[in-house]
Amino acid sequence: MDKQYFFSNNVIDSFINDLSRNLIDLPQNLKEQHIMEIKSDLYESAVEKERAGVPDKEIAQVVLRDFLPPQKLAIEILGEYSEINFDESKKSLNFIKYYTVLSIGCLGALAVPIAMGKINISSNLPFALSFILANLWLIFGKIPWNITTLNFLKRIMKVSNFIFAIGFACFAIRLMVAKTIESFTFSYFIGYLILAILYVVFLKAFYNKKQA
Amino acid sequence: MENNEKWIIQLRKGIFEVAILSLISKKAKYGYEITSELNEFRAFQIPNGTIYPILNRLTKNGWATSYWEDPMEGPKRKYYQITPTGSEILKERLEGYNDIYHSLMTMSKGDE
Repeated sequence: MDKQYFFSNNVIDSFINDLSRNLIDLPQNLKEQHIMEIKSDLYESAVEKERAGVPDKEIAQVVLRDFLPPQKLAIEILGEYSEINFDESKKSLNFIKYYTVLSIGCLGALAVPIAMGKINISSNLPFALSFILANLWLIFGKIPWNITTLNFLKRIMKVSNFIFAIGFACFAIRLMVAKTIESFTFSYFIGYLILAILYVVFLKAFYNKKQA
Repeated sequence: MENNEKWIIQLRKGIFEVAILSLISKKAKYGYEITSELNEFRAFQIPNGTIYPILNRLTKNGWATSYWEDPMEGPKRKYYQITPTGSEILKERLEGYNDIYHSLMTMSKGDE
């Protein structure tokens, strides 16, 4: 029984993916450990079924008959980790999601004056304040960091590169509209880029610190 | 009825620990091997895969240790082996269950 052939089977692949999805609340290292052990069991069972003369095409289906469905298996596994506060874990993940909207969203909104060629303080102030508050919240908030939240933060770091694209897009729009480089647009654009660079550097440093 | 089921679940949880410790007390065994041996007994029927949380608990308590082995043929296996603390726990629990069993039998036969 070829290992790669067995795990490339749609039924087995879907079983493992479903199980992994249902174990999302477990810390990453525990989740990976359980998946690895269950994969070993699946393969062990497949080898046994093959020896027993089960045709290759039916092995995957027959093997899964001895296993609980992924949702139920996940419930059994999660039941053993009652000491892990899943609510707390969900709360911190939600916090990171709010943070993403407040920080990246607001920073993106602050690029609009570049395209407009002028700044409206009263409409931009809420975005600027939200951006500052979100980052203060991230630094000083008592968030229980775990693998899931750190992975999400890593994804935010990747997405945050789009704020440069938004800045450049707004600058390009202004250039097309005004057909000249205005001093306000240019200086605001440079200021925006500096802020975006600082933000990306801050996120990277924060991630490295929390990971350590 | 529901209370009875909960009681059975709790009882089985404790008994599974003893059963697994017994199985790995003679030699190191891997998960699938332990499940297969447990399934030979009607009282210890367990679906594949559900044994790992129990094994994880045993390892966390320091009653068992584990290591991965990649044999020349067949899949990579994680072996579980009893520790000296695990052996002591197994001995104590078996004695405890034996006491409980004999006491219950004596009580149930008391009026006869």
